[in-house]
Amino acid sequence: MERDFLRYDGTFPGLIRALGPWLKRRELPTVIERAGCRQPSLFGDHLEMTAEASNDDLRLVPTAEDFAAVAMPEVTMTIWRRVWVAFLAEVTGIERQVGEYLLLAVERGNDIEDLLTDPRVQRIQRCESRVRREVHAFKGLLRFQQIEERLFLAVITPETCILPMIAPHFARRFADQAWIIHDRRRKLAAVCEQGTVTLVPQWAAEETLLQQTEQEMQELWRCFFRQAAVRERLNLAAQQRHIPRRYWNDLIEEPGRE
Amino acid sequence: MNTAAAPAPATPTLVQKLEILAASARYDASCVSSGSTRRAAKGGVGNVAPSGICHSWAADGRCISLLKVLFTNHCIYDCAYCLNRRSNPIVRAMFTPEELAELTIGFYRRNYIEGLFLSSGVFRSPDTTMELLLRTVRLLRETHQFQGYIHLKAIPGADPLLLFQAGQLVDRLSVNVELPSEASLSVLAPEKRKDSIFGPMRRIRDWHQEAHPAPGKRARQPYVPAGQSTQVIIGASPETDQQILKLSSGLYKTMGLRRVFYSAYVPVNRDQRLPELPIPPLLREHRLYQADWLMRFYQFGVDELFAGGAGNLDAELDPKVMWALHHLDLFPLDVNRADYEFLLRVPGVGVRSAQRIVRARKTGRLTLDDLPKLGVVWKRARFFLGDGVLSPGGWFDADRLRRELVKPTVPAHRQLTFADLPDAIDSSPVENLRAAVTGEF
Repeated sequence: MERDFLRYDGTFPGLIRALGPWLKRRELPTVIERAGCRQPSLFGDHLEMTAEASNDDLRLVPTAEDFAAVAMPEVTMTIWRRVWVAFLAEVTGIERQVGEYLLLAVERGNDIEDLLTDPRVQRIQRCESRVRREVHAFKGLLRFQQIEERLFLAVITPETCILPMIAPHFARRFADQAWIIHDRRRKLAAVCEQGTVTLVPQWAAEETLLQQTEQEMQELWRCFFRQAAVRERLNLAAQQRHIPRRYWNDLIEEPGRE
Repeated sequence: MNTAAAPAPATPTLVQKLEILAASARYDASCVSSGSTRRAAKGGVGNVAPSGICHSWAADGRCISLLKVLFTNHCIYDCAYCLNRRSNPIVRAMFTPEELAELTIGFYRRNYIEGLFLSSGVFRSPDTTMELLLRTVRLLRETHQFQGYIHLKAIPGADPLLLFQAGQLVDRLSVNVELPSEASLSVLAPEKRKDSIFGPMRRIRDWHQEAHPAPGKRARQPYVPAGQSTQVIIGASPETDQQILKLSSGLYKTMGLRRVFYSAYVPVNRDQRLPELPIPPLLREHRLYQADWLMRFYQFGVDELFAGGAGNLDAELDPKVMWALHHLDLFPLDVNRADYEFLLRVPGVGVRSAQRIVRARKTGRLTLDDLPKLGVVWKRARFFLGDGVLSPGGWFDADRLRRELVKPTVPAHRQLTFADLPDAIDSSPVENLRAAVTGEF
């Protein structure tokens, strides 16, 4: 019971490096806790600091080195990728679900792909599809504003931590423009210059004054958006089903109007 | 849009042009950006995602993926169903290729759109119009190095050479059938002929096949990589659903079309040749799409969908349920044994849930409780599936089933009671307890 508490730095690489020794023993800690979380465990004196949180370099995206450090040959890259995506859902207790899923993967090998009715598999799949759904939605719903000659800025407020997943898409698509995507909720930003993306934590948003050309372009978009609707088919409920209200603030086109 | 004749502004601004030319294009149903891939070019902007991306949804609930506009709403034709027919006293406008190309790039760089869907009224002659469209596309692809999606309408009657050149630059070309039979075409669009629609369609098919001999492989010189599509107007002419779907099925097979779009007729003109519809036949359009899906992804033949002898699809129930009700001798189906092809035919089972069933049963026997977890829509599937032990709907006859399936579902906002808990939470007992305490499901 003595070492039943695990604390990690809040990142996925940190989590799997900390979990590694437990997984090798085929067991999981009772409590897994994020460093700096709001409700620290009552039994804080049993803390096990495995991964050190370093503030200057927030590593969100796991690398091959992270997986090699855990040294679990039974776990394929597909499975690693799946748990990483599920982790980005940031639901409470995800650390434990990741642990359970990895234990199952060790036990069942590649069979885990077919264990679709197992609750441990389903929990991970639900988280994974939540993230993937939102990633796909934001490939469409993200809006850039031109703030300088060749610099574009987008502000988003997603439910899950999608930034590391959408950044490569926009880097490929807009390779010739510099852009910043700012996740307002997580104060996290992806900055892209000449096709290279850097993730920057603790991003401080600046108020920007919209230039004349940018205002005109936004007006053109709102005009097109209004005109695209066929009056006789008005269906605001369907519109809202596709664009939930929580996304409306960051859009330019003002949905919800007849 | 107010279609009353207003004096055209001497030089309309870009916003005014967009207002007019987007309004004229909105009745086209197609807004798809899928089925093509295009990688970003060095120094250029854009690429095409094979899955397609929706960027917004208009107030009518339809997705906005492409900048869908007409190049001009001037038109030399006078088709009865069309808002832009020459006898309508509406304000006319026209883009220049340069301003339309810049507008597309401006929207694209801000991630408003996936690309451009460009159609046009016929200005002066089909060739003149097609040349203007081609110039716009050239500017985008060559001057702006734009690698996003472009869907271009082929102008009926234009020179085949222009069509060929356009197809090398765009992702999709389409020629609208508009009316589901030659008879209706001659009544409602007397200036268009069947040849001017199917001729270009055949040519595009042949050029596409030549450039892409092996489907799925990257072609050296692609020709409309996303293939061609078409649109049929529903409810402006007297054809039955069966006739319409026969037409689509023929187009899929002989013309290799990727999509047929169905567009509920919105009465934009008063004309004695046209029916007076109080509202557009949206439900009929929806049923046609369902049937179309069944033909393309579920291997249903057209005549199978009309097994009951009616020429139109049922308004109350979807075509898959109707098929099942006419073939009750095949049900209930045992999920542990049924072939994948048969699972696909079960109402409430889709392509993904059928695939999941096949995968999941490799590792152990499935019970009925597992099915909703695999994505099966249980409120429909429960009448048609069994697990070898239980088959809850097995003893119902077609009339009873019909009543059960048409019945409105339980109202969503019912107060939850303790009696509901075991059903409401489908995980282990310990978890249930925790969830009941924390209120987290």
